[in-house]
Amino acid sequence: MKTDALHAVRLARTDLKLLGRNYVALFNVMVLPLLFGFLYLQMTEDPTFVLSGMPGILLIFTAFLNLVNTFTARREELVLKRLRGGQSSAAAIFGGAGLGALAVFVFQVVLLIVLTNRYAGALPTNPVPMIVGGLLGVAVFALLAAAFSGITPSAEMAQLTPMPVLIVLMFAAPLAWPLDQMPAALEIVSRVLPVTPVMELMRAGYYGASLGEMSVYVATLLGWVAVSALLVKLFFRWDPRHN
Amino acid sequence: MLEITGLRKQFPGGKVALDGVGFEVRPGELYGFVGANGAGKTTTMRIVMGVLLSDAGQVSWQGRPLDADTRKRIGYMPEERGLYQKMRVAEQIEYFGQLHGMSAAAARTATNDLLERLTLTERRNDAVEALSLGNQQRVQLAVALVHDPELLILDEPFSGLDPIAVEALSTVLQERARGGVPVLFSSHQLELVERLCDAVGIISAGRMVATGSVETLQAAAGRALKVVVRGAEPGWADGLPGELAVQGDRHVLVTSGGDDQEILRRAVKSGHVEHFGFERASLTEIFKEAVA
Ligand SMILES: Nc1ncnc2c1ncn2[C@@H]1O[C@H](COP(=O)(O)OP(=O)(O)O)[C@@H](O)[C@H]1O
Ligand SMILES: [Mg+2]
Repeated sequence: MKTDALHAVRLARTDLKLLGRNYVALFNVMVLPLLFGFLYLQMTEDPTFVLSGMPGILLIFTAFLNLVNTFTARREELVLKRLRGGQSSAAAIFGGAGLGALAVFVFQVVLLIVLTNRYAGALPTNPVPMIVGGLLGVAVFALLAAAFSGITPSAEMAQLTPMPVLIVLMFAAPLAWPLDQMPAALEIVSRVLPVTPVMELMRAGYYGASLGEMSVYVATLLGWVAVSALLVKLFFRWDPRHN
Repeated sequence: MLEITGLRKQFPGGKVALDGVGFEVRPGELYGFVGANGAGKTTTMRIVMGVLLSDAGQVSWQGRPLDADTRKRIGYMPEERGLYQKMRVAEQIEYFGQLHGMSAAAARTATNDLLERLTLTERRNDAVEALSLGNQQRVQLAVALVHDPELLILDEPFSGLDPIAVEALSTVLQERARGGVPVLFSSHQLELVERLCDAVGIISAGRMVATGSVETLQAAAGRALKVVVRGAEPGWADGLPGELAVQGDRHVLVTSGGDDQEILRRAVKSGHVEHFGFERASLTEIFKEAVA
């Protein structure tokens, strides 16, 4: 247990160090979501609303896109196999990847909170739903990324295979408009997808929300944790060879 | 001592990869594990490392079954040479040392020492992907050695190395063995194994067909008689056992049977005897014999 935790921290540190050296990935994780955020900000009169929901979008890049890339690259360079060969447990390896993404995500959310305060004068009043939403969100997207790496043939393809998911998630996310202003069909889709509950829990930190509402979001995310864990079981590969 | 007994492994699909593999590697011993491709070397090593589960058999270390904690103190070079391609050489070796529980400072010292020994110091800040294959292999060895392991298990550490790298690697392995560490490595470079190893195990189609010290195996294989006759008359060796090769005006007869005195008389009568003596079987010959 203790070794697992230690290994996870070391693996996470390494992932972050290597992320820092990979400019394409760094752009995707750090700059791209900011560009989208800036775009959405132009479409709204309510910057607090957009900025407080941004963490949901960030996860798509910071946890999902980034980790599809990481898992695929590590598998291709056979590091996953080596780590499994007597050094680190599966829990430590997944935990390490999640931890690295979490560190970037926390940094980004703190940055967002500062920006929101600067430009809209708002500050969150209740950090609890934000922390719960953030942790569950990272877990869901890290697991989804692991599953997706399994169907991604190479590190080069890792920028492509997640695109359909990315587009659907971005399109259906209630970033610029609240859920109840969406067309009914889209609203249903949006509520089921994992980005929305993260956004809403983050917003609950600013605007407050009823316990009932928040429980539904948490339950949705827990459901996604289960679904994505199953997808990992089905699709994740330690080994580049297909057999 | 590492003791492997009765390992059996059948892969899904029916292929029996190991069928009762067993041998021992003693402290301070360099043990060469040789066999053709697909003989079962990698499978055996993976089972020792716990990467694969065996269907039957035991692996024990110092008299007790090898467990996960003990495996952390083994230096293992897997068949699949996974390294972070974008990480720098020194950084990577230190990192794996730390994963084995070393402090940052201890990992750094050990890394610098290994870089020096493996003549990689000048490459210490290069990304692994920028290295030649031979140098990548040296990094692999460094990663297996950095945490000062109690036991070394190396899958084909010499494959693809140039002679200089082979020398560097051999020296390091011999040093470790002399320090009391059992070293088990697989190889199909038989001359190298013969020169380097204290003990050898030959595996063929999942079974150990020979195991023991090189001398024991040589003694068991019997000695071959080699006769070199210059200017011999053609046909002098007709009816004698063994193989005759003709190199210019020299006739070379190698045989492991027949009456040596009779052979000598015939040789003396037919020409100028340049050489008459018993030769030790080379590992290559022992190997051919064993797997035949
Ligand atoms: N994962 C696997 N699934 C099925 N068969 C395997 C697997 N790994 C190895 N084998 C088979 O087991 C035999 C032994 O392989 P291996 O241990 O890799 O041999 P070596 O390392 O001596 O070349 C081979 O016939 C190989 O095809
Ligand atoms: Mg092999």
